[in-house]
Amino acid sequence: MENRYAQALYQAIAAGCDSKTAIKNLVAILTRTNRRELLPRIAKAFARIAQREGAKNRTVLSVARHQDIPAAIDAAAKFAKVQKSDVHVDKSLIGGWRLEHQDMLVDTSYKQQLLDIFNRVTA
Amino acid sequence: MDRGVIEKIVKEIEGFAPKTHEAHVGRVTAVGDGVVAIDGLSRAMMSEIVVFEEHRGKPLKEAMESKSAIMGLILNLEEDGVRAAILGDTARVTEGMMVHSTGQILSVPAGEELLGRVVNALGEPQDGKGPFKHTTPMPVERKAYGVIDRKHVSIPMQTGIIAIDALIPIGRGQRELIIGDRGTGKTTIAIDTIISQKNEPAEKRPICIYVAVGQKESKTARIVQELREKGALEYTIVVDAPASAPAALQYLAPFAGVAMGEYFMDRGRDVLVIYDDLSKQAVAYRELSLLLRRPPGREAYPGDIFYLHSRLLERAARLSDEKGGGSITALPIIETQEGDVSAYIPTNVISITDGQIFLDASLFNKGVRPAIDVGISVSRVGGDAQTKAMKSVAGSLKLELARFRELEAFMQFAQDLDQATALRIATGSRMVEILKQKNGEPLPMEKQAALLFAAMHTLFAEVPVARVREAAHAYLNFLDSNHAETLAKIKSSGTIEDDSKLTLNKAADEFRAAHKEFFSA
Repeated sequence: MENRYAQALYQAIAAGCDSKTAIKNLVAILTRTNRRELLPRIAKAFARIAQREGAKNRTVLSVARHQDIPAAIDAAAKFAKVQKSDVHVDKSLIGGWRLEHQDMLVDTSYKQQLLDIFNRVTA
Repeated sequence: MDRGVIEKIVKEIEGFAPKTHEAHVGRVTAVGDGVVAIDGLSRAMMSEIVVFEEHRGKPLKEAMESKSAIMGLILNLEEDGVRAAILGDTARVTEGMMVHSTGQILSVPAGEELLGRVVNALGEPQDGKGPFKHTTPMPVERKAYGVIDRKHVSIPMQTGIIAIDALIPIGRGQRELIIGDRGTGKTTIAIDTIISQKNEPAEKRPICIYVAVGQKESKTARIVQELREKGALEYTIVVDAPASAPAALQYLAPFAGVAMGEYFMDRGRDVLVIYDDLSKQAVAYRELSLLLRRPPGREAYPGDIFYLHSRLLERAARLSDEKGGGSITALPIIETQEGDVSAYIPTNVISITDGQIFLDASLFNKGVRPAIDVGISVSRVGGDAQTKAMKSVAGSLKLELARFRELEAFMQFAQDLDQATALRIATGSRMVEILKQKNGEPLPMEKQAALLFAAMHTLFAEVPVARVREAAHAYLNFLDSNHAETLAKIKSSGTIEDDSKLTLNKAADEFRAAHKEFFSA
């Protein structure tokens, strides 16, 4: 039940409702229906949903070396708008870049290409 | 390094062009009991295969050394994510792991190369004989052929078991349920049917697929060994989803089996698929459904448990000539508890199939083996597929046996019996002996017909009941050595013509004279 309340609260706030008003209204409904004790659990569920939704919308651009960052941001711009703060260095990529944006993955890394060759040769 | 591998690497390097991989992905939010909840994958399809990315952030060497990719099968599409069954080692899947969509529906390899092999529900070899090289992927879930594409069942599927071929005949393209308590010989009938196909000419011999669901590995190993010893493995594929396999694989195994069968059927071949057994598949599906949080219904089975079996068994068919004339005959097995055929899963499968062979534990314990209860066993479409030879000798047999069973119960407390009743009991008890058969020794049609012809013409009427089986065996050997041409004629024509009848009557007289030991009281 707490998940439903938390989901409704998240959707209301995401739709533009003032967060203070939304929470006030939720507390009022819970008090009226004798369910105030659900509040701590609703808070936890809300935090989970917010974290999950945040992760969904996060953009991560991984590059193998620091000096590749500007070129990678330019190349990835075709798929998503990337800020410098979204970039991190992952040496395991060997070269190229890898973009994770919402539920899309774009991988141009050397590691992936070498793995593909390895899989084809050993198949 | 192997020269072939070097050549492959050189070819890859020469043809190398940098590629951009684009994929739809999701992340694992919860994992447990072989089921995983995934956030994302907004374009996922039902029954789509997803791949779990284990090597994210790991060095290339480690990624290359890791075992084969873990795959998942999407079974629930939900508002904010999907749920999938893990088709492999659950322990390797962790929370937060990235999941790639493949856009592909689950398929299994199929082709001639699979004959004689043991594979799992994903079509991966399990017998250590190496990977397959030239196979065709066949979708595990496929719509069954429609009415226009089908033809009526008209060619017999010989099981080699007299009681079945004479009384409950099965045709190619039929679905005949084998049902009974545990330890009543259900698997034995199925295996004998596979072995019996050896008697068919190679060009008409059906491809056999034995699907073991939730069985002990030792039992499957014994079956494979038996098939190998009898020379039946060469035209058989064994799909093994043992009790130790994840529920998802046990649920998928029958679909994988029929998908492999469809490859041959589409090419005009006849196929026999045995599902051993669908009760265990239903239990695996129930487990999976409960873990996927689907609402439970009767006996906690999900609402679509009927559809699970109906869509599987509907894929058995005899195709029209335009479609190549191939067929899939399905022999599903269902295990009952205390002979209760009115339980949920048995009634479902009884209503789907074209008949059932009911095995009775009390008959089994009495030594009547195969323990087929002729009274409640039925074949709804197989009659048309029975050969004329069998039809002519087995016409009144079922009625005679039913009457005998009735009288048998009465006989237990009756003191004096009138002559007609005593005669009927004597004939019936001899007929029961003739229908008894050792496992692993299926009889070809012509021998079955000749034996029943002799029995119907009172050859064994004077033989003591205890020696009827022995006499029947001796008679078949006698025919083999002295009247092989008559047997061959019955086999080729499928009928017992007048001259064959005369020869068989003559043979019976000769047998009486040659084997007086059976006829002296």
